[in-house]
Amino acid sequence: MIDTGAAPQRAAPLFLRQHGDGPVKLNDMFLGLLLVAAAIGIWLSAQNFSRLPNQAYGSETMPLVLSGLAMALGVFLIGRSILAGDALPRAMRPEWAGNPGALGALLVTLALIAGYIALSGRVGFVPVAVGLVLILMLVMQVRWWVALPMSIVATLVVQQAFARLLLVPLPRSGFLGFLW
Amino acid sequence: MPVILEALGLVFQPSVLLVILASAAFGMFVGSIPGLTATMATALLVPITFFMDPVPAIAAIVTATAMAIFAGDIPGALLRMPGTPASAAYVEDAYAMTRKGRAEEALGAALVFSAIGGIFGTIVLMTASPILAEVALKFSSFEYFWLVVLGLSCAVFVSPGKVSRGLISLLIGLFAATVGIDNPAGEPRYTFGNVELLAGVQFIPAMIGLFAVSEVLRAVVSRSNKSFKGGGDRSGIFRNQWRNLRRYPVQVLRGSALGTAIGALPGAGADIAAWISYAVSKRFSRQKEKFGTGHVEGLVEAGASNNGAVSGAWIPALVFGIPGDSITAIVIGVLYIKGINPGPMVFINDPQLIYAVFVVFLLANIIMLPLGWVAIKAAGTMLSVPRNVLMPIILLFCIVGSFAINNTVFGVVLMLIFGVLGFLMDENDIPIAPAILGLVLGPMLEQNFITSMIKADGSFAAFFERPIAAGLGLFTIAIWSIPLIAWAIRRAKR
Repeated sequence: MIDTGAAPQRAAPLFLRQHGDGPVKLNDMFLGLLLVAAAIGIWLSAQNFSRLPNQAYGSETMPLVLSGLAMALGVFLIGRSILAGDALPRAMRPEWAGNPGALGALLVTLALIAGYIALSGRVGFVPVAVGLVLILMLVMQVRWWVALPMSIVATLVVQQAFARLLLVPLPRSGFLGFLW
Repeated sequence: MPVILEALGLVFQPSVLLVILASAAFGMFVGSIPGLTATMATALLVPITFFMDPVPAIAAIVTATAMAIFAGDIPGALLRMPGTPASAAYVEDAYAMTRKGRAEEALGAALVFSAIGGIFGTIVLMTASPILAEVALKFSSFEYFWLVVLGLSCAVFVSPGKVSRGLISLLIGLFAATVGIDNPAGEPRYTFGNVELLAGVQFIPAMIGLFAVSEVLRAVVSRSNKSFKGGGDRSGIFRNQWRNLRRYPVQVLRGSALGTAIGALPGAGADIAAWISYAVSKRFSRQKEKFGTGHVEGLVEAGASNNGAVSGAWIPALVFGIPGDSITAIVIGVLYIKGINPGPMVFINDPQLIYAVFVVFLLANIIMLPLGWVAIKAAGTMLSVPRNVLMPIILLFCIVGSFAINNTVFGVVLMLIFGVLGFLMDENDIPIAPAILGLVLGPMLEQNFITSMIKADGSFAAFFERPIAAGLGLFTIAIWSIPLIAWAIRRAKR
């Protein structure tokens, strides 16, 4: 059950490697260092939390326990990497990152969700949701004459099911208020 | 005997049967929508039950809950969006089966063995409630602490890939669970002044983000326009289940029994039960290597355990009036409104009502089969939709489901954060499921750990002084130490 940490194939340091080097992008040393950094961060933040009156335990206890566990695991991974002769933190670029279209599509998707968060309260659910589904379908190379009706129908079905049937107060659109 | 006949008379009335059918359809609908939960289905039914007599009111809730919990497996198997943390235990196997064109078989197994587990739990509920409830009430914070640690350990060890990466995932989940004001000293932790974070990280938006949004992001970067089905899914919903039942009878029985027993523990419930059952199934399987790759065995055992636990949660609720989970807490409220006070006296004062509840449980688990068949067939059509059309619509469901938990856009913010986190975890072969269980069980772990430490005055020995706690503790330590010792021996030999 325990992974034995067989020596990984040699890779160039930090994000210099090109794609296609296997599924694991960060090596054990990299993850170990991240865990040690996280453990220190959690330990420092836990100093601000208090204990229960007259007790040795309180809000700080769990973060301190987690900090200890993260430190132990980080040190274990670092040690294992060194024993395996792989002492440098390495990251491999995934195959899709070499394709500008895929990277762009990923960024557009994240921007669309962020756009929904920013705009739905002001513009309303329906127009923002139609825009989100439509743009994402176009990004995913669906033809516009399929994407447009699909985005409208999908949005209306979701709006009716959630807002009307399940009484979820989705943000209303001024000129589409009759749908609620 | 007259009591049972009276109970049957109360249930087998056209109006009650109609309520059962309608609430079953409602539960199936709510449960199959990603992001909506069985608890939400129950809560939505409460205002309607005000206008009903006690039996149809309870029947509506019991039926909707049982359906919604099974229906949570549908988006889990088809879209890798588990409806509940319990479904997350076997979602990788179910989704892998879908990718292999065996979605109907996966969902059929979830349906049939959920029904079997539910019926098993109901029979235990009918026959052994008082005894089991007595045992459950003997559990103190020490036993609960070990039970939670055991569940979390199972999540790490059954996850595909390296144990160290499973542990990283668990630490992420446990850390996310420390956010908020719900901690021993009641002070804001990692909230950064955000009022919404005072209540902690909601696990539904986190779960939608980690599982579903990360899957959408993967589809976006792969830009695939293929559907899942390939040559079409002809595996059949019920076709292989008789064979599965004959092949895995011990697993079905073990899952149902373990699920019912864990479900009977107040606060433990289906989440821990499904994970422990899945781990037990893998541990004793002759085909351990197939787990996580689309193998039905774990799905059979954990599915039975999941619904067994749902029935088991009613044991402390009915016998002592102590809710086993959020759903039974709502139901106890409804019972009080109807003038029925759950507890030992209800078995003496209103035995016909209690037996009517038992009959409803059995009916709910039986009609789950035909209704589940319809739901699976209806949902299965989405698999023929090309992924580049389906994924944007799924993202819309994700957003609305995350919003609907607290009716705030902050749920969508959480979904986005955890979606990116899940995508990065996937890319680095860090399993997602332990993070979910860490997030769900983190508060319970902290509460029972702190309570136990205060009780024990800081002595770890106290964690092993009570017999059940000692047994659970030693078992958990063995789970961790045996593979470590085996690894050390192997390394020493090299």
